Amino acid sequence: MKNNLLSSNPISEPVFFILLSLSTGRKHGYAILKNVETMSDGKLLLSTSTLYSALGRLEGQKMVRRVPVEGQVTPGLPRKVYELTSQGLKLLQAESGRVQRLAALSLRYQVDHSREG
Amino acid sequence: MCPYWIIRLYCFLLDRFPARYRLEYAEELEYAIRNAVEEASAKGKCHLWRLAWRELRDLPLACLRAHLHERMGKIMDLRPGAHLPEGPIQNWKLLAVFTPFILSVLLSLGGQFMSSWLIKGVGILLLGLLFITWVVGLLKGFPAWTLPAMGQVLCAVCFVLYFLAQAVILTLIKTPGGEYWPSSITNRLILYIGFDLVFLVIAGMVVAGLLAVSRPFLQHARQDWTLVSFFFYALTIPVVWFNNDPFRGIEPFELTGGLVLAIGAGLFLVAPNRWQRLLVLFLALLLALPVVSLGIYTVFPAQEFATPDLSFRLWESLQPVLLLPALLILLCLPALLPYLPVDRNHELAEGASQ
Repeated sequence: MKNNLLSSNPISEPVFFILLSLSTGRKHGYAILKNVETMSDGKLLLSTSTLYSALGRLEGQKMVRRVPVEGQVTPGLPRKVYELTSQGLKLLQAESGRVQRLAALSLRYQVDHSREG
Repeated sequence: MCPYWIIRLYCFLLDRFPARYRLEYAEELEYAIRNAVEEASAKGKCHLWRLAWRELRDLPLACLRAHLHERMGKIMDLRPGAHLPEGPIQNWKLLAVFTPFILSVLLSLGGQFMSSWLIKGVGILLLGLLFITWVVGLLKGFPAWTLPAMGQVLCAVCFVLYFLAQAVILTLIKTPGGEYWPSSITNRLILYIGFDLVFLVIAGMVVAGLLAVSRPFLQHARQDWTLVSFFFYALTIPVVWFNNDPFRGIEPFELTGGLVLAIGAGLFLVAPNRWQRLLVLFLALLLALPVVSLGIYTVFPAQEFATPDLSFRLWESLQPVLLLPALLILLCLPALLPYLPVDRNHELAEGASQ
């Protein structure tokens, strides 16, 4: 994947947060939901259907994979969890880099603009 | 709105999702919504309403998307060979599958268009492709896309052996008057039951020998026995245009028979399960050869050698379908492959060598 500002495709906010949540370790769907809420300071509240649609798409693109829970499964808890693939990690890094570069550009522009002013 | 009804409504909408989606995600979604509802109701009514709005607003759209995805998936599955062990067949390999059928159509058109340089050119190109397919088929252990072409070699071998066996049998039963064939059609048909059996044994033994010799072919056949049926199906291609006597005006019937066989092959490649694949081959065969028979019966009176004798006309018309029982049995025979004992020692040895 090209780590280029112009060629890399931006990903949606929910997808970014889902990948970010999984970058800290394997999680089941509800745990991702809560983690996203916490990471975004309660600003991004995903519905379960949005979350699973996004997870399904990411799984199809091999960005995440579903793995069975190791060891004894706790009754009532899902039997499968999601984990980030190396491809998913690359996408997350590329997106983080893209956002950082955009932020840097924006800051520089504002600074230059303020100097002009 | 109480938590109970939110969950009930959610589960009701979840039931509207495609079966495959439900099987995959329903359990996790239910777990997530139960937890979310429990947590929101603990925080207060306002949180519960916000959650209900968010969930019930997004779920119908997600349901629609899941159905569209499912439908698109089904369309994707219509790619030729997508359900076969080796996966989709594309580009020139797909042309190689249909080459014997196209060649049979060209041969059916026969003298009418053969003078055209374009038809000759196409014919030569297709013969070249047929030759390449034979070589690749032999080297790669009979992959699915080579089977119709390889079936033509099988056809040549089987029919040479069959005609030899037929000649021997007819010589043995020759009547004192020097007649090879019994005079009545009924007796001839009874004799043909025996010939069908002979053909069945010859074709069955040749393919069994091939499976014993070619391990890759055996592996493919074990993965999907319909591949062997497809191989046998190719035997019928020449039967459509090969006639003992040159019938004038038979071309449209031969062309139709050839096209029916080609359509059968096409449907075989897209049919999702084994029994459907066998069924399309079976029906195509059941339709194609009687079409040619009907053609002979129709054009017979216009032939120079035609006689007013109905039994002669009937016998000539029956020629293309005489081997039909044997061919139909051959199509179904590979369904027994999974029940044959497996040589575990050999498989273990092969596994170890790999």
